[in-house]
Amino acid sequence: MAEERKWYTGMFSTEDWWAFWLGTFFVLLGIITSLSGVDLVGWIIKFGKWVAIEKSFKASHPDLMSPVAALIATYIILMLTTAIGAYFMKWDIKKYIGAFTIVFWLSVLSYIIGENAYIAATELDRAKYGIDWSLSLGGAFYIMALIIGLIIGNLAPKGFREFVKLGARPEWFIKVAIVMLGAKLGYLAIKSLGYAVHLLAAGASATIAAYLLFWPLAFLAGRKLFKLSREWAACLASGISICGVSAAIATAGAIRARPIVPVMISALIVVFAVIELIILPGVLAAFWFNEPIAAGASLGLTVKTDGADAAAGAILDELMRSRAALELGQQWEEGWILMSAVNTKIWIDMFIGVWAFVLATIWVYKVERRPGEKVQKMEIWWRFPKFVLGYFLAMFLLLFIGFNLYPDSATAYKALTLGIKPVEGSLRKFFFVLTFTSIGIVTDFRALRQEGLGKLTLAYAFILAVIIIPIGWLIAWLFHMGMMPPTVSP
Amino acid sequence: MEIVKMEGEDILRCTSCSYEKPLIAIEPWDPAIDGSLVKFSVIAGVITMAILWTIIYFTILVQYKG
Repeated sequence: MAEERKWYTGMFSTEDWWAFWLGTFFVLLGIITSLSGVDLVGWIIKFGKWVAIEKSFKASHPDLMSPVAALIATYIILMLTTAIGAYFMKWDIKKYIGAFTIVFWLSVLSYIIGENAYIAATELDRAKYGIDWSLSLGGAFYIMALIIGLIIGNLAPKGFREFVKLGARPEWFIKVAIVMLGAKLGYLAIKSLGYAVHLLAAGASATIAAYLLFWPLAFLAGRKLFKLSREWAACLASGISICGVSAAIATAGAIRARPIVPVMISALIVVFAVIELIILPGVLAAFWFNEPIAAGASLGLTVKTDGADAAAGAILDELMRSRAALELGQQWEEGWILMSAVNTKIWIDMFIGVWAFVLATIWVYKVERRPGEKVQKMEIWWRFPKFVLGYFLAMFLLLFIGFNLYPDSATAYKALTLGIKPVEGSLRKFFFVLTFTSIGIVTDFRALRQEGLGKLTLAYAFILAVIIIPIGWLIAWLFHMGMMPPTVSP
Repeated sequence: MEIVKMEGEDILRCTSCSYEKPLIAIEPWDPAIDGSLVKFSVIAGVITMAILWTIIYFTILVQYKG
């Protein structure tokens, strides 16, 4: 019953909160390492481009342990920490550990294959690796993880597929990574505070503007063009406008839609997000190279799951930076395009609660006119994505430490590198790869063949292509025009 | 609950009591409800966008021009 919920309900039982706990835990390990000099993060596995396979991975601090020891340590620590979360969330712990183990090692395999120099090295890198050709596919390890995941999710025997799904948690993994991304934003902002503030403000404004246009136009198309009933049109509009699955569920709860409604819409959202993840980064890198930050922001506005959005942002970041190095001779700082993609998405996530509250109010007082019923304001807090608290906490912690404990920003940046770099770099990227593998595993294209989805699929595809993507691109450009990623200092 | 196809239409059927209802029922457009919802949201969206863009452009984006 909603009345029995307290503000702290779910703190130890939801994926959202466990993303907060795990992400914050790893960021704190990094901060303690930087401040005390006691190495708590040197074990984190770091993958890199390779020609000789023995150089494909190593410990973040190679003096601490051998590459193989670091790989095993990373497996054990990630397995244990996520298993603690799984235990509190009352998942089947034995099955989770078994399934996570498969997801982990598939991710490692994808990372190693995708980082082969013949696949990943740019034209500028070739001399460094002693090779005379390469495909220059920056971020190929992400695609490799996705492909391997999709093969398992769609072609493996049903029993195995269903088992591995127990450890494939794309939304959880990406939310942990997003908390670490908050640390990255804080860490980079020590050097470029003004730019980080600009990015946050522009992203928030773009999101508010986009959302207020997306929802009514998607609702209008659903009702008028596709003749959907109000409950379907409202849930579809929220799912395709805000944060996909969560928004569809939140809206269904707010307007008391039948349970089948968010379930079917969620299936569509997940599948279409993966299609967008595969297509959009390449299209944006090819045709919108002159506006990299706007292109990143557009992903946050148009790709409707956190996992696929951040994944698409990571690929776009790699593609854009490779192209900048090759064509402009500029080294753009890694992560800003990705952060632009995640930034708009995070603001959208934060609006879920507000919008669920608004819709519940409209439905109770205007649409269904339920006498004597009141909408609780706490709904906004309950729907608030808690991992976002971790993102901002990590960012502000880094900024606070950077600007208060060191004489100047250059010294702070250098001192924090020891502990923060392995967390915001190597570990975050590995969580991204876990996400890609998991997205592939849980994406079942057979869902589109389900009875009753034909009309909805058509409506979703039409609204996405005709309303969400064009308006999302326009608004991303309007609010980010001219912003370029900072270049790497020599 | 299951979804079955009957005479080309998707029907939602309760597997225990066999109660049936069209999955996506026809519900006429109501200008007072649907129309107002769309109209007010679009107007709010356009006004909000204009205000926010003006603020963001003249405080932030102008610094990145050229």
